[in-house]
Parts: sequence; structure tokens; C-alpha cells
Amino acid sequence: MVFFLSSIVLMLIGLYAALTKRNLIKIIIGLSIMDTGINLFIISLGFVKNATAPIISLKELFKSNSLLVDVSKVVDPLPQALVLTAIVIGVAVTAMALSIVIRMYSVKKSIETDDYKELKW
Amino acid sequence: MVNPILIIAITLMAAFSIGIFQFLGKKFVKSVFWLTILFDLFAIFSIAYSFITEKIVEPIVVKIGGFAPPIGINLSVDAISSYLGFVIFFIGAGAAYHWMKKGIEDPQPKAYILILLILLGSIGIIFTQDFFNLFVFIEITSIAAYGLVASKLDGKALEASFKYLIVGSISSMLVLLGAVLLYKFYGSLNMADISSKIAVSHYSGAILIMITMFLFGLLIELEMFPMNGWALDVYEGANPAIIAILAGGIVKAFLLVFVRSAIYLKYPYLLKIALIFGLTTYMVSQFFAWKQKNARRLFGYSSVAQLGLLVLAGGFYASGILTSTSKTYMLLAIVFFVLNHSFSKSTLFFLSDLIEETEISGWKGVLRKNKLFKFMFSTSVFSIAGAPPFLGFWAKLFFILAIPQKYFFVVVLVLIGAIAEIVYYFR
Repeated sequence: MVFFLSSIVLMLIGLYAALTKRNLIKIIIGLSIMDTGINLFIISLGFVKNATAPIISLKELFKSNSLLVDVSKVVDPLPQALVLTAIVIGVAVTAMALSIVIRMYSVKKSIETDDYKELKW
Repeated sequence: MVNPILIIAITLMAAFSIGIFQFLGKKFVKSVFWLTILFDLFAIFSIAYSFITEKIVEPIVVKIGGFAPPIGINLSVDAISSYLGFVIFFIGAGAAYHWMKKGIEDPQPKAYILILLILLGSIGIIFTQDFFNLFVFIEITSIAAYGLVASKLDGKALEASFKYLIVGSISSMLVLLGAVLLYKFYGSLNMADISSKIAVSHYSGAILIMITMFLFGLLIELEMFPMNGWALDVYEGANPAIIAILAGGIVKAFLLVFVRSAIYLKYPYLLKIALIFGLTTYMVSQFFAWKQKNARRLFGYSSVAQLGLLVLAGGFYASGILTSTSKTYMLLAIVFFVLNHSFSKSTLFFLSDLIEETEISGWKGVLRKNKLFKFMFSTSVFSIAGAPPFLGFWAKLFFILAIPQKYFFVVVLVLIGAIAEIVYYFR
């Protein structure tokens, strides 16, 4: 529950920052915070209390003598796989955004949105 | 017929090999690029052709990784998506040719990679049957699109690209959240599997909010009215060839996904959403276009208006209130709208690159002097506005035929918008 609440708070903080800040770098930071919030949210969807990683060791297999695993003892592995992909994509977007800002800076020597009024903001 | 997975795999491989083997020289890069594009065009054409001649009704389903659909990811190709894929690749090839010839002086290998990635991503968006996979393809497409928009490297293009990036990543985050929550509620990410588990009768508040969020993310990508400021900036700032790819191809992929996921998720308010967003977008952009002085921004407004009309048509098609005859009409209308908009709008954007006048007042002189430009301009404008012998007319005719009596005001509004469009194009 704590994870859910904090992830939603993170998302809202990120959205607020991305929409209201006037500095391009701060906007990107806001996007990253929002991304982190979503990742935390996805991870907490698959969370099971007092459970272990969904990896079956050979020792356990021999001990229990069957291929079936108690599902309530392991966390859901799929959200973790999704988060891994989402993190990579988030990093790619951040890198892209930062490189665009570098180019913008080299054109106009400013990273404030107030200086970019050529198109309507 | 070519296996649809090959289109994605070979395009991706070509993009990677251009990146790795670019030291082999410009010729190598160029030939790999054009061979890939030719292969893709051939492949998608052969798939579409097999739907026409062999009368296959069932979609072609490809399993990936050897797992059956609910667990593994699968691609599904039907007649509509193969048709749309062909339109996207055709526009993409034309725009790439124009861009390499005219848009940039010395095309870098990066440019080829980005074009391949954007086409690959949009084909993936059309074909995939998995919500998370959809998110991944949306991101591939958008990141390539940010790069392409920014590739002009002047103030306007960079600014447009940055705005596009902010809005695009927020909308794709909404899509991701929607997809993950669907997994939470239905234990699956497969579209058909979720569709079989979902039922309108036990739509709870949480599920409704989640699906609305998901569709809203797609609507932002579809440039609907309150959220389309970024799109107009992109139309104004980016290179016209890139806009032709974006407006002529990629957005159509988002449209298909929007309508299809609404059908799969059995969303009850689809018609209302389509009416509200589609109609306001259509009317507002047609009337805002009157005030524009910049030619590309004007084309941008007209393009957004057409998208509003398409969302409206898609909403009617998927809403289930149509009889089967009018459903066929609506489908024909959508197919014609897509074809008409993709080709005429791309022609206009290429023209705006060739003419090199940004203000509308400058266009008159150029058009009067150059007969070929004048012919191209007037055919595409007539077609977009829906003058009788052209494709746009048949699209609008079928659209009007398909609309049920109860929604007659839609017809009236669409006709008013069309008249406004003719007037502002001939100013």
C-alpha cells in the first residue's frame, strides 16, 4: 500500500514539474520522476509479502519432488520484466531530451522556455 | 505471401547493420536502406494482395517464440492493417526519397536508421496483439520521430521536437499505465485474451478510469483538439518530408490502434468520446485555419481537421450502432479518407518544400508561374475538400450515407466544415 501511494505521489510530482517549470532541464527531471513513479507502481503490482524471487533452485526441486511451485511464495515475475523494458525506454527518452536541449542551447544560449517563443508555447 | 514477422525483423536488422557497418561507406548504407524499403514494400504488398485475391477472411496470426497466444506475443495481420501498412511504407519511401534528395545536403547514416526505425515502429503498432508490445513500438516510433523532427537543427525544429517529446512521453506513460493495470485486473496482456475476459456489464469504476486513461494517451498521439498544440508546432517547424511521414503514415497507425483497442476493450463511451473530440477538433481546426498566414501551419490545421473526421468515423464504425450495410459504407469511407489524406497532404507538404515560400501571400505568385505546381496543388486541394470526381468526395459521400438519422447534426457540421475548408484554401 505504501508503494502504491508513494508511486502515485511521485507520478503527480513529476507531472506537476513537467507542466509548470520554466527551465528545460527541470522539465526533463520532472519527466524522469514521473517515469520512476510508474516503474515503482508496476513493481508494486506484482509484490507479494514475505515472498522470494521467482527462481526455482535445483535443491528445492529435489526436495519437493515435483515441478509445481507454490505461487503464493513467489512474486509475480512479469511486472519485473516489464519494468526492465520500461526503464531502458525511459533512459532512451531522457537521453534524447537532453541531447535536444544541448542542441537548443547551442543555437540560442539559453535553457529557459521564455526564450523560445518562435512557435507558440 | 511473406511472413509478416520478416518485415519487422529484416527492417530492424537493416537498421542495426547500418549502424555497425557504416564505415563501409555511403554506398553500402544507401543500398542496404533502399533494399530494405523495397523488400518491405514487396512483403506488405504481397500480404495485402493475398487478402484481395485469395479471399482470406481470417487474419494471419504469427506466434513469436513458440508460445501460444495468451502467454506468448503474437502478431495478427488482417486486410485493413495490411492495407494501412502498405500506405505507410509507400508514403515513407516517397518521403525518404524526397528528404534525401532535397531536405538534407549530406544524408548521414543516422538519418537512414531513423527512417527505418519509424517505419518499423508504426508497422509494429499496427500488427501487434499485445498491450505492452504496443507500448514498446509506440516508444520506438516516437523516439525516432523526435530525432527526425529535430534533424533540421534550427531553433524552430528543435523547439517543436522538444514539445513533441514532452507530450509524447506523457501520453505513452498513460498507455503504459493502462496496459499494466489491464494486466493487474485480467492477468493478461494479450488483446484478444483480455477481450474475452472483459464484459461491459461488470465494468467497475476503476476499470473504466483505467481504460479511459489508456485511450486518452492514444488520443493525445492522435492530435485531438485540446492537446494538439504540439502537433501544429511540429507541422510548422519540422522538415516537410518528415511531416509527410508523420501525418500521412504514423498517425494512421495510432488511429487503427485506438479504434481496435476500443473494440477489444468493449469501451461503452467510444461514440461519445469520438463525437466530442472528433467533432470539436474538426470544427475548431477548420475555423482556426482561416486566420493562419503560414502555409505549413495552415496545412497542419487542415490535417488535424481530417484526423478529427477520421476519429469520428472510427468511433461510429466501432460503436456498434450501425447496421451492417452502413458499417460497410463507413469502412469504405475510412479507407478512402486514409488514402485521400495520406496522399494529398503529403503532396501539399512536398510542394511547400519545393516552393520555399512560408507565407500564403507568396504562394499565389509561384503557383501562377509554375503550371505543374498549380496542377498538383489544385488536385490535392480539391481532393481534400471533397470536390466530386476526386477520392475525397467519395469518402465524404460514404461517410454521410453511413451516418444514422439520429446523428444528422453531424452531417450538417461536417458539410459546414468542408465548405470552410474550400474557402480558406482558395484565398
